Amino acid sequence: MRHRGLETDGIAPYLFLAPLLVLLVLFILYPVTMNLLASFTEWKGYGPQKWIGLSNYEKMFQDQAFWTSLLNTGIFVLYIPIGTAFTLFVAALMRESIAGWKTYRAILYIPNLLGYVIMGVIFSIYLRDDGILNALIRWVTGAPVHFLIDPVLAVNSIGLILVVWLHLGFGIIYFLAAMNGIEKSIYEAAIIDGANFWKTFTNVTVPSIRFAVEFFVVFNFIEVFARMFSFIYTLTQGGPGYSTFTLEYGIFAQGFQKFQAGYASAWSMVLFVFCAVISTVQIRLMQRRDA
Amino acid sequence: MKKVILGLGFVFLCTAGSLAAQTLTVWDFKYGEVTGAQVPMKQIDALFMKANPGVKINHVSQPLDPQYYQIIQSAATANSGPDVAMFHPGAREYGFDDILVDLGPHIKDVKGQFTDASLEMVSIGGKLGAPVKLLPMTMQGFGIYYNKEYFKKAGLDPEKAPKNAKDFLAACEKLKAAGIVPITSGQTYTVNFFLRTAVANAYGPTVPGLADGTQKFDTPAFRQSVQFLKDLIDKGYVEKDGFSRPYFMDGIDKFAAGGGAMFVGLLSDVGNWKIFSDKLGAKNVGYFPAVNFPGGKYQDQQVAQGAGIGYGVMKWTKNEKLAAAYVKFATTGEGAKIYASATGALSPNTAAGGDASAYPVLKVIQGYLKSGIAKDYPPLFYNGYEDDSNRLCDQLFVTGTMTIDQFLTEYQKLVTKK
Amino acid sequence: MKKSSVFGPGAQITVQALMVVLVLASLLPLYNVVSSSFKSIDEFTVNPLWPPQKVVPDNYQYAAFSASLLQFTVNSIVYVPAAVVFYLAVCISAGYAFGKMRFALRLPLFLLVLFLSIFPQLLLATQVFKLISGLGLTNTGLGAVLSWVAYFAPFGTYIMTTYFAEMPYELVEAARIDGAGPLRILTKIMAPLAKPMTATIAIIGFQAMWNELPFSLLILQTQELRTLTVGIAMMRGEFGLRVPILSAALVIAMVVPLGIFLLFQRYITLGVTAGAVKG
Repeated sequence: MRHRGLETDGIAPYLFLAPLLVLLVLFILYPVTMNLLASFTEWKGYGPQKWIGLSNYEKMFQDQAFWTSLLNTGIFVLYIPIGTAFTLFVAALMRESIAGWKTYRAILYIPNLLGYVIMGVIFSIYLRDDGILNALIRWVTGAPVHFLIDPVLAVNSIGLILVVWLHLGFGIIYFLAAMNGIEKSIYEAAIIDGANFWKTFTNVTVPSIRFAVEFFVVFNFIEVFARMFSFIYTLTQGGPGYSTFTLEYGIFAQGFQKFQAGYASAWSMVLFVFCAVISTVQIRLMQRRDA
Repeated sequence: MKKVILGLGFVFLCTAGSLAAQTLTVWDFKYGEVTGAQVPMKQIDALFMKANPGVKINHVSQPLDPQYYQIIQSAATANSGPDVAMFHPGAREYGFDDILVDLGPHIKDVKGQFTDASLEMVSIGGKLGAPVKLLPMTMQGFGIYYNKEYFKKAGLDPEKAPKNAKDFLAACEKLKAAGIVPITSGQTYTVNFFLRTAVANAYGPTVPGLADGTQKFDTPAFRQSVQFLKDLIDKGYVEKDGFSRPYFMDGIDKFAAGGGAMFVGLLSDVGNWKIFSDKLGAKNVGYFPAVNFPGGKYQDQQVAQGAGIGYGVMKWTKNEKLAAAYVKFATTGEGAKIYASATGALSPNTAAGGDASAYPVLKVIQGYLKSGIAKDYPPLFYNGYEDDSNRLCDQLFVTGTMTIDQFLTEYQKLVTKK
Repeated sequence: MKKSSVFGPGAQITVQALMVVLVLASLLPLYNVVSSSFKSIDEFTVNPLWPPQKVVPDNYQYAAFSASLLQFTVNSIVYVPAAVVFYLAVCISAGYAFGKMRFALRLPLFLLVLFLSIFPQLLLATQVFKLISGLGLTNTGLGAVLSWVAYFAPFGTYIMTTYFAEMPYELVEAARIDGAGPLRILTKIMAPLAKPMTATIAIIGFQAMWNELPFSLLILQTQELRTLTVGIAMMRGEFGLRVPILSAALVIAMVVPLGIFLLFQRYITLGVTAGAVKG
């Protein structure tokens, strides 16, 4: 995005940016800074704040819930490559103009569209031991699967549903569009060479949309670290036990349930570091693409 | 002449002021129960508005779990919000003492109607005689209901509640053999409530010692009950399906529809004697307060919270007198009667009573309330204690990722944690 | 796209089967909800799975009126489009500034905006609430709208920036030669040309704000003002709400997003497409 000439546009750009910048400073920059300060205090969320230095951080590193949330987040992250690969695969299939692909694409987008809050509540009903999915499973295997009770299953269910399933629809549209941008000639050359679907997929399709894939992965990282809360809150409330507890949920539980806003801010700072890393990666990716 | 006009003007302004519509905003976490509490609350509001023309009640439903106290906290930060709000007496309310009005001067005429146990819980620091911050609307308790018809079917005496742990286990075995689900469950609340009854029997009048350190959780009596509950679950006597129910209400409904023989329920509000009697037949519902363990110090203790929920007046209200009047209206006299009879709540107001003649099980409950009450332990602790406790219970009872020793250690730690 | 030459008939069938499985998986939870919403509470307790034996509208009555969901829907319909308009104004002007204008701080500010677009709402919630109450905007639609625009605008700005950057600079030059000032260029030339992308971020923004929870929950405190999403999240009572009523509430909540989707499907696809090709 290089601009010609040495002239600038004067103050006009700053005026155009003013609304955005004012909002950002007030609603994001200032809160993040205040959070950092709050993490060194003992505070109810209202009323006076008492400086206690690094106590919150000490407490956090000794808190089993903290380490469990990191572990859980790690598990969710593992689903990102699975989700990305599966989405790519389905998109590539659809690309072959199979009958009805437009309808499929539309229907698969619906879970995405409805949002985490609605889907969270829907799945909390759907995945119950006496729910409809388990009724089908019982019909086949005779025993229900404890999606929401078993700690291992619970966290993996969320990983599968949120990372793979709820982003599938969006990913398909996104990848289909990116694949459309691949030069036809390259694609056709591969077919003439006799390559089958798999060979084309792995050697031509995926590498050609590398940037789209990278951005999809980053998008998923953001969702896992910074957007999962509504879903977990409506589905499992971080349970059973702490098996679906995350950093975001910890901030919520500590800050808003137990009125330990200072302690919650310490957790926030850890989350902040992760987000900052993701953000930097995203920016680097963009700069590479533009180069 | 001027003086007369000024005088008249002054009088006019005063009357105009009092004739102008006043709005009283009430925040409530039970108002959202559209088929439950909302019905009598609407009636109470209508009556109050009738008795106080020109007053409008703006009754707002707030979500309880867990945003309610967060929303109250937000209101405290902004120093504005409702005139009246509902609270859980006990520790949760103590945290908000500084934003609640001292109701003392307003309730001189009704204070005597309330039981000491309830007043204690709504006074600062839980001390009788300290300033009263809420008026209690219900008293709460927990116990085990059973379906008499199912007992009969399994070959058990329907009029005799299991006397002790051994009988209880035998009853479960018989029920299972007869193809009846022994214990219907709902989310983690079954464990939660069962432990409360167990603590009552394990510690009796010494329950408050758990909070000040004179009593510990790792005692043989409590350990026995924890082991017992775990065995019940492992043996399949507790309906495992119930743990993944997203809502406790579904468990209640299941038992009320004949889905199981026993259910750990409440005394007031929901999942109580009235609902089960109405659905299963008033003669069909049995009750006992806790499982008795051999060699246990205390038997048949009824765990009770002197006050289950109550209303308070917020300090930033501009209509303190009116707000206090509303609080009194809802918790005494006609208001209390309406709420109690509609929801089956037990009122700590001695002037409002449940109709024991139509509900035999209520008589049983009242008997236990008279013979021996133990304090409920979670209200003794910090905000969010119940959530932490539930998560630990999940790990031991539901997911099986903890041993009993680990559980007891961690559970004890919660007392000093914050 | 040309008809497939890569799949033989056998493979075609397998692929179709896979698609059907995926579609069923998408729709089964929704069927569950719709079917539960028409059952009476008593029936649901004994028949949780199969279609209702007796269809009752009671749950919708409860959900819409006693639980105020209808009111919440109206609120959402009022706030969200208003917020989207504000959001578009901010994103388009900022996007144009970053994408086509020249000024010293362009890159650092752009990176800052990008950097700030990731942070989770929970990190900000307590402080945002303090800010809103400081401005006296608690329990107002304006408070919620401001918080939404502030939170979602960075991403919208980023998309508009890339779009404007791709446009040929000649357009701007020609206009300047004609003597147009920056405001004219933005409003008369650039914004109209950006219509497809505007539609896209409008839809993305709409979806995001419609489903927003943390800020709305804190700021909108009374029944009259709450949004639909908050209403759904709130439907728990002390021990939870019964499934049939909850299902009816969910169906009501799904109507608007699904409706918008059916109407604007083309734009969503178009926009995501454009975004993907440009990276």
